Amino acid sequence: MTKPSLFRQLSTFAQTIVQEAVHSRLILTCMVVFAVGVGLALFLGEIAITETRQIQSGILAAFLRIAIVFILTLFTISSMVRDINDNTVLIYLSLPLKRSVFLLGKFSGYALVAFCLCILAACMLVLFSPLSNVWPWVISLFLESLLVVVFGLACALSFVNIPAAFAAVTGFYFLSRSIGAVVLMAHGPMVTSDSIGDSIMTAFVEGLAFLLPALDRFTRSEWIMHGQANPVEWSTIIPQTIIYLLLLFSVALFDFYRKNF
Amino acid sequence: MVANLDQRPLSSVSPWIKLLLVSFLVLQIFWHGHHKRLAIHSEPLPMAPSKQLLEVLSFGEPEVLSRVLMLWLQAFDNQPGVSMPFTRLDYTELTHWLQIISDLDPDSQYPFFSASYLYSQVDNRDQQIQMLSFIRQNFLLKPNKRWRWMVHATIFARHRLNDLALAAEYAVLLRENAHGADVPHWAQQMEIALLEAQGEYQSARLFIGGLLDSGQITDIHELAFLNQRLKSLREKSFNGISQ
Repeated sequence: MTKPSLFRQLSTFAQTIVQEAVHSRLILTCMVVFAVGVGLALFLGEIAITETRQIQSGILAAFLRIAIVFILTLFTISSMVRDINDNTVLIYLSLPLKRSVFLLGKFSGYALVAFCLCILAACMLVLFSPLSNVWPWVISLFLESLLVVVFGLACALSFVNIPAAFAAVTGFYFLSRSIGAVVLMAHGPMVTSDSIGDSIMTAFVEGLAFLLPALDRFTRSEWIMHGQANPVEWSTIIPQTIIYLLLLFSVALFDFYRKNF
Repeated sequence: MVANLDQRPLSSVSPWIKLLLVSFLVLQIFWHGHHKRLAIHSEPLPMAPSKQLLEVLSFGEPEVLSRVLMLWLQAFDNQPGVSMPFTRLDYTELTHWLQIISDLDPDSQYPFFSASYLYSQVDNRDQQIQMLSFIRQNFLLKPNKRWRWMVHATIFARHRLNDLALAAEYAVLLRENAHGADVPHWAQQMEIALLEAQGEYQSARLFIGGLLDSGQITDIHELAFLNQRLKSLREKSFNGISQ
């Protein structure tokens, strides 16, 4: 019997995860949540006296971004933890399959789900903003989702516990989104003291910024509102995604290879 | 009919659980009905936080936070059960809020729109001057983007404050600073318009009509608002003539 190709193995995993997403009503849940976002945008648009479209598209974009990130995180973590707790992982590992291929397969499935959700979000956003403003935002959201998915995968493998893994991803996400502003604050005019405590704190914040991805540069609602997706941003976003994706994937692999199931 | 394999029949639920469910549902409705209602009192405008703090709290979306804060500020005069006149707002704090909202998204025109058409429409000269000063200060930062608010401030100073010196100062600032391609010729020549004996309605018609002709206003809510404003000025103007 010939060993199936890598592509075949990956596509099988991807197909399984998409089926899981459909069966767990993930797409339906997203559609309901997105509809709530559209309703919120329409409501706020009625309150606004000017810049109505900008308010609607900006608030909807921020809402969709948070919704997709957290729905995807919960889906990835719960799916992975269930696989471990139900010993499904053992069945997979008993097959002639490398652990790296298993993890890559899982990731490709979650990435495919992320892609579908991003397309769905784009369909909602074009109701309020021109397509030329929406597509850079959607591509960036997809790249951001990949980072969140792989971090969720790594946390699920490490903690094998949904609340702990979810808390870790939430902390990582919000810290990554605000680290740029936190660093500026640490060097800002409000910090006037030269005490050792302040210096240690500033150094800690700067050190943290080195370890976290600059997610505040990704998927900016400003692009949707003002149509200002700058080509310079892509030269930051794409390399940052590649570097951090590979870093997180190697963390997940490291942990997975050490796991004794 | 296919039996539902996921759920057992209702009869399998113990009566005391059903009783518990119904009793607490009734208790909740009763509790809500007799709960002390929120006291009606107006809250003063809170102190505006620092821009740095808001940037951290925006999680990388300062433009969205700017819009959300603007909508909150706009609705601040309508607190639960009470509608507060703008004059009762602390205009120093209001100016801080408008400034911080503008700083979070310098491309937004909303704070200037509110300062020009909402918060300056009070019968208090000091508060009106505060709003005009806010517009003047921010116009100088981005004159080619914010010229229309300065034009409005010039007309306002001339006709509502009857302060020709202030209006002339604003008109000079417009001529000296607003040179962008989007700035119409008439806006740069506000000094001439000031010298002509025009009423507020004629000036506003010139200004709003010019904006509409240039196609710079596309928002339907803003169009409706400006048309309504023009209509009310026209009525005021006609009433003034007939009296």
